[in-house]
Amino acid sequence: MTVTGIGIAGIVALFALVALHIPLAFAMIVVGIVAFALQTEWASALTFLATEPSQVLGSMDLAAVPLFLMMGAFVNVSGFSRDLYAAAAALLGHRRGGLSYATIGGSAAFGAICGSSPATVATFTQVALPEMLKRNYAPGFSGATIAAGGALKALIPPSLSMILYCVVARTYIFDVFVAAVIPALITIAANLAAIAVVVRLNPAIAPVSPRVSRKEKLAALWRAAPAALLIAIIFAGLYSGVFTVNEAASVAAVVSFVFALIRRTITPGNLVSGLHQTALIAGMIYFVLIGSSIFTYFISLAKVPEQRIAFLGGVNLPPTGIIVLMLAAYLVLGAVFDELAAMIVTLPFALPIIVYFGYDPVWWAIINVIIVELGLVIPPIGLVILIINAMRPDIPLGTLYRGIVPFVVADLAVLALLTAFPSLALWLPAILRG
Amino acid sequence: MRAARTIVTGLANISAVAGLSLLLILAVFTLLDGLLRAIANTPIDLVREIGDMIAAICGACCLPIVLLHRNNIVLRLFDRILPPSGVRGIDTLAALVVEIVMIGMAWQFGLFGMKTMRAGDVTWLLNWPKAPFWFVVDGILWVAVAVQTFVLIEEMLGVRERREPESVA
Repeated sequence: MTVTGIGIAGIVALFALVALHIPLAFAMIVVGIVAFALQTEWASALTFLATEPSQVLGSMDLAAVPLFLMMGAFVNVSGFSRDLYAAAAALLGHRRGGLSYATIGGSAAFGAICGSSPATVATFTQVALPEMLKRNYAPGFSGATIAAGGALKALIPPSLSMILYCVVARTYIFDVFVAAVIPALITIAANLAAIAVVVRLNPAIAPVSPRVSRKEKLAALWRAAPAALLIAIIFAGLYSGVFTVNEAASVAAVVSFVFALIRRTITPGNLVSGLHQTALIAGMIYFVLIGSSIFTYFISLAKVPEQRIAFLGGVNLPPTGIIVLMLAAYLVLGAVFDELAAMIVTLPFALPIIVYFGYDPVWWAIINVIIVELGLVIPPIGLVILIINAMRPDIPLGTLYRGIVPFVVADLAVLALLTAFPSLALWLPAILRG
Repeated sequence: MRAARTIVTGLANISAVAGLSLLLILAVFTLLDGLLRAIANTPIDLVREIGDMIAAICGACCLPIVLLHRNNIVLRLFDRILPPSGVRGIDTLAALVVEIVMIGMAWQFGLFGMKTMRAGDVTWLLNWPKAPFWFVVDGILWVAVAVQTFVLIEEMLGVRERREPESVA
């Protein structure tokens, strides 16, 4: 069989195995091993079953993933989300749509210390939603605000999506974390602008709440101080270059554990449950990365990226046109796949194309993460919407999907802006690199 | 079957809790290493010497629970198309593929550990042999094989409970 034939057969086999309910990670392992064996020999191919897991499991960069997830588990039981939300609500609640602004601000801050978007959304559905409904905010708008705030987590360092991108793409995590700063601020601003427009067009969905006293404001800010301190430690350590990502994750996990102990909110029961949840997500990530790592060997040997580049080189489109096509493909792929899984599977094909057309892999990381963020809120999967609906079945899915539209428009605008002006993401890393 | 489930669940849960507790201890040492390096210029060599191998053990400890709860990313195309017996057949086939890969991984990891031992691989500063760490990882992978064998038997008998996977993002 020719190299091209093996490349095509491998990709078809991957889709066939995934269609047969074989977990994505294992489908990638099987295709990678078999295709590599067909091109070389079985003995060498089988050694990947030990060498790749040893690389992935022994990666100190990747150890940051379970550590950040553990931090999320400890922070959740510490009640930090409630404190951050209360502080934001005390400052902004008296404005029209103020609790929505507070939800976006609180989610963004909590996102910095919580491991995952679904955890952020689940927490804010418990913390913010009752408060908003009590003050007569429209249920669909309230739920959509929480979903948008939770999805923001993907773009706020330390983000698991970014760490995974960097491990697969072999890009510096620090560069991507720095590059995410401006896009994250733009996305937060775009989400706040979406709220401002919606409440101006339809004031009834977000009534004005009474202003809280100065004393209450100070009390709320004081209660949020430990959470703010944890955020400050992580960000200052990471961005000053004092910590590596793994060290930042270690500090975050240990400090959040200590906070939970001091607040006496941690019990043997919620500790074990938190560790189980952490292991479930971390283990799944390890499996996917082992699969991706083995699959990448097959792709390189079958010269799949080179063939794609040759094909795209023949298409009469400017590089921006190719990027737009790729983004559209990701959004379509996201209809059947988890966006993050789609990113990991397609990265070995997509990245060489990006580099070939002169784009920076760090910029592509940010674009990919925004796609992941969009995938969390848009149907048919829209995971965080499904979580809100599962926790509050009295708010219909249709209402939530309608409510999320302004936020999706805002995110698409940010995506378009970053696609048109890559320097928005690359400017800060360039300055820091000198 | 119930006794087997209790044992397998216990193994997977204990493995997850032990692995992540060990990772938290490693995190404490990483934190101390950073502080001592910054304040007293006396790093803890142990952290950099065996940190990656401890991390490998911790990571491996997270795998059995994922298999037990079938928390891997699966595209369930046929759930609404095929009758339950057809879905069970496909799920059994998928569990068998996972089982074969896990056996292959555990087998190859054992060979990898032996090779490391024969080569006399040691850590850079402390001269600690690396092979025992890889044998521990291999042991955990065999636990994962045992867990997956149980999952496969449950799929074959059609007594498997299904749950939605946790998200990555």
